[in-house]
Amino acid sequence: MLYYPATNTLVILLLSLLISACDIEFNNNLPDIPPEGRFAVVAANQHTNIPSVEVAIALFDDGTPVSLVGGDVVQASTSEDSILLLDNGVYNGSYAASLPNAANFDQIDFLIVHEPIAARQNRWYPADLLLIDPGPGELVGASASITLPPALLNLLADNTDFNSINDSLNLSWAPESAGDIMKVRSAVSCTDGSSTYTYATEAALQDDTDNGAENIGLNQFIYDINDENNPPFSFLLGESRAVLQELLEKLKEEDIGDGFFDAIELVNPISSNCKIQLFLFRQRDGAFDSADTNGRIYGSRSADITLFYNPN
Amino acid sequence: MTRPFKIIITFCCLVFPHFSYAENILVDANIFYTIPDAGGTDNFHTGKILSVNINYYALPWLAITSGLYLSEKISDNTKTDIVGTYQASIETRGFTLGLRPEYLFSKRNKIYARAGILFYKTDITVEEYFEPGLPSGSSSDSTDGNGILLALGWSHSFTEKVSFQLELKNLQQQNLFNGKTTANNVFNINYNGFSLGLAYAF
Repeated sequence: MLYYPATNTLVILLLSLLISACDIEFNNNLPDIPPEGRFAVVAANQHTNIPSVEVAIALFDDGTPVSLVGGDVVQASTSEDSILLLDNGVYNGSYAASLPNAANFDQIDFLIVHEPIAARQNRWYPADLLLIDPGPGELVGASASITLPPALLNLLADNTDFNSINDSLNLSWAPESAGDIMKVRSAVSCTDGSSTYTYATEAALQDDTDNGAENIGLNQFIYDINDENNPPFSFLLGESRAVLQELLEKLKEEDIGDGFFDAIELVNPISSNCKIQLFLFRQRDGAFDSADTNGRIYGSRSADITLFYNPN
Repeated sequence: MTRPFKIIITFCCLVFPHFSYAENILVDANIFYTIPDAGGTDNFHTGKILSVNINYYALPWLAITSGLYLSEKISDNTKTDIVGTYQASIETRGFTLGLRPEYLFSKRNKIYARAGILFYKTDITVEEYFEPGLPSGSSSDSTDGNGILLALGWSHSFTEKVSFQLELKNLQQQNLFNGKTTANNVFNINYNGFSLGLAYAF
């Protein structure tokens, strides 16, 4: 077979353009980070029936991720257990871990510690004998705390099978009166039999108070890629996306990799069979222990139900 | 003096008197190409280990084999984790003692096996680098112990005295740093690979 390099290059360029044209904007940098000053993003979530809290933190200096090095590491703890955040999270400069919390403690404390041996525990050689310790960094001692809101109980939907994006469903749950806000997020997986398109949404709610009821249109999850108008929901970004991704890995619903939500539109959701994993979050802001620290900090508890969209 | 070297000296004292029966002695020298495997996140480059063995034939088909081995510095891949960027390397040396049964299947060719124990002294060095502004450094430590030697080889005679050897070999050094670190940090290193060598029959 004849092989024309120029033709090949053109095909690759066209494919690249097609793929980038379909790509929903996403990169590995957390959005909405101020370009100046120190900024922290801290999140913790416990899902119903999972005996652990997913914790994540990211630190920035003048908009640039701060790497904790040399043995400085974030420790997350309840009154019973603690864990070091040794894994990089989805986003640049973020760290994540799963903190055991079978007793459902509400208080989650974060503290930057210098643990040069424990931080190297995943290395193959004995780090206690072969240690190069540059000493604690300037962030050691910084702390924050989160109080998780009450568990989400009795999450129900009045319908789980849909065939039109004009349909709607009524969600209900056991309300609380602590003033927490509610978020509805979803992981959607659509297939036409040969290709699968996965994406995550944040629904625009009519009322985000913890009143125990919400009516949501299916167009908060399913959309038409040929529709010139933007879908009425937001594609999930930021730490919420990271939390949802960690949660899906924990639930082992999908083989979640870093590219799970890269959202290359391989099929059109409106005309495809879709599985919608709907997550309801009860969310509450936390606090940094130093008034000088700026950032976003919140804790949440979540529950999920699965919906099915079959247009044909 | 470390235990392996005491054993070497003792062994030599026992074996050397038999050199008067030189027709029973085969000396071989080999270069062993291996990728060490420490069983964790290590990913070593290929390294070379030089070994010299003395084989004393107690029976026409069975020799007592013993030898010394010495490696070059074998480096692990450079890795980066949340602590820093680091590269580890190992150097090992030691002594082997075992049996070498063999089977002559043609006038010039035979297959043989080698099985026995080994004694090792292994040095590990780690170099680590952090962000600019933080001091980098290196740290070394050494450990000794014993393990297992297994090999399967083919020998082809060029002359009555000189032959070529090809061996598939596994050296297993067990329980490195046992007693020096916590039990969950103790590990084994497997050296799998092949060796090429020449042998001379006295």
